[in-house]
Amino acid sequence: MSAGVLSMIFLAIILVFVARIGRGKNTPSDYYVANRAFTGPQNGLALFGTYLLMTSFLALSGDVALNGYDAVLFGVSFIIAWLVALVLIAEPLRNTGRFTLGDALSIRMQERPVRMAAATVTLIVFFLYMTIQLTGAAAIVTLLLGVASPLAEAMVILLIGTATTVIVFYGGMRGTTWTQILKAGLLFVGVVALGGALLLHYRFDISTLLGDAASGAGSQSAALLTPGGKFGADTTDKLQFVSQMLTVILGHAALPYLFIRFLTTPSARETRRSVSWAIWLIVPFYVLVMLIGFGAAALVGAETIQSSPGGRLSAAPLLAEELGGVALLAFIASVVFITIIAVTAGLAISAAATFTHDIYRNIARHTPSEGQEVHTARITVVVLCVLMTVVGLLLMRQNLHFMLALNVTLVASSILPTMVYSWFWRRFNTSGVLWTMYGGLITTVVLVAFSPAVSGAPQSMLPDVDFAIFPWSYVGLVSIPLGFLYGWLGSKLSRERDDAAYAEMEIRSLSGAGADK
Amino acid sequence: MTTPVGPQKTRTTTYLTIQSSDAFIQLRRRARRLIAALFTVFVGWFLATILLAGWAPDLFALEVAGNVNVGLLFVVGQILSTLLITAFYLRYARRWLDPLAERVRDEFERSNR
Repeated sequence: MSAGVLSMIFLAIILVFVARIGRGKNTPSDYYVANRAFTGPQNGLALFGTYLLMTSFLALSGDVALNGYDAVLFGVSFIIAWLVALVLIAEPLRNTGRFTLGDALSIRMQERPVRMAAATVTLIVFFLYMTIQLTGAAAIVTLLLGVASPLAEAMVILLIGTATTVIVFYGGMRGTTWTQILKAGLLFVGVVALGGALLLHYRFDISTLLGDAASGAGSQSAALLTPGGKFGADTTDKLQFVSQMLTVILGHAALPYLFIRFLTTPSARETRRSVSWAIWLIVPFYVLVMLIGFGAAALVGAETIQSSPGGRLSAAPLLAEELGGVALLAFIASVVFITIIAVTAGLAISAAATFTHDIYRNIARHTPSEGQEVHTARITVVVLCVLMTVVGLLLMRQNLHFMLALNVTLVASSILPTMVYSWFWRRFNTSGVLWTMYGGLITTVVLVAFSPAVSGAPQSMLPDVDFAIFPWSYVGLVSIPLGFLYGWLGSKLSRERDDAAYAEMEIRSLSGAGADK
Repeated sequence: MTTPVGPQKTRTTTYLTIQSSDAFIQLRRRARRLIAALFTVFVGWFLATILLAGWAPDLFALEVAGNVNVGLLFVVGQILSTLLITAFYLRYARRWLDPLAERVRDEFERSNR
């Protein structure tokens, strides 16, 4: 139970922190983006804290322990995703966005329909991610108690839902950011401690570590260090894995709860700096996680990992117990708990911003005052968190693994093409935005619904029925090009064209002239 | 916190004037070239790596030193190239883009005052 106590201590520290930061001013800029006052290093840490889901640490290390080389390659794609954020998205978004994607788009499009489209996709992403995060609490409980207990799972979901509501209701973006920064620090320390213990155990002899990992993998021993674990045997399986990795690279930078962070710094230059800080942290983090995966295969063994209650998610915790005893295990488990709260808080603030700013304020008839807008955003946070906690409780024992991939694919097929076109293509227009957003959304959902992720395979959500016509669970290789095609087609089908507005978009996105300060 | 200064009409005229200024044309050319070049390099290089891993696994299985094989060296290469591209982008943007962007912003502030 020491992990439970430690989790409560970390949570208490966060709440005290949030209380001390205070409510701040009642302005939308303060509530949604903390007055854009975060420095590059602060925002870089918070970006790191937002980006790393529980799954990036536990699932990836387990994946490396069981699938070896291909999982390492998969981990690399999560690093490369940050180059897309750095080179393509962060600065133009900082220069053209105010609080939401809808703000950036309405510079040159008809405001109401594009805000509605941006808000729709953002809220769907929120619902899916929030469900995954809350139901993922089951894994934490299994780690903490060593057994699966429905009552304890329900209590953890309630606790995460409540903590998220309090942090975001009271602290807004400021509270969310400091939660993410603390989580980033804890997670980084946890992984460095575990990875450091592993490297010391092997006296920094990576070759021996890899050799032990290969022999610890048991039946698949020869394969652990070579491709094949996830690529599969035939071309369909191989292309599916390629599709999965390309989606990871293209989708992450366009995730709404992540890119709202690009808006919390004083200038595009500071945003760039914060992304580079995130990269300096993320690269060593992922390298250590991969080594931890190999270490788990070497010192714990594939069979022990697979037969433990948490399955592959237990790889890193079991290694922690092996190398550092119960203390290190407790630390790792409680860091995972805090990790979920930092992510759900980020999700809640971005959803509240888009609901209040894009739907309530701009689509409802009356214009609220700044104070009223923040008040509405706070109520939205409570409503959304309560709703999602209930959904989490209802779905807590379902197999929802496919949602994670669905989400990133959806974003890569709708938001990413919309962003790229609106900054770089003169002819893009309102019709193009709607085609890309709704077209990309519908295509992704339909393809995934008819894929092995939902039916027809042992690990599907509905394993007993089979209506999987589409061969891959990861549909990005088809849906992302289609998203771009819809944007082109939709724009060509409409006569709307506003060169003056494009001049503003182009100049603002590249230079920051006229950007919000 | 709201940026528009003066009526929308002057603002639009300002943007259209700036769009044909030398500083902005140069900024746009450099920025677009940089984005296109870097994007092609890192996506292409990563694609090459995963295609080789998927369709030439025997090459990746060749051992180089101890248990380290060609495939793992490709991973090390990917990680190092990510760090190098980040450093290059920061340097390039600071030296070749930021001064131009600043000129464009000054021009914008002047015309809107």
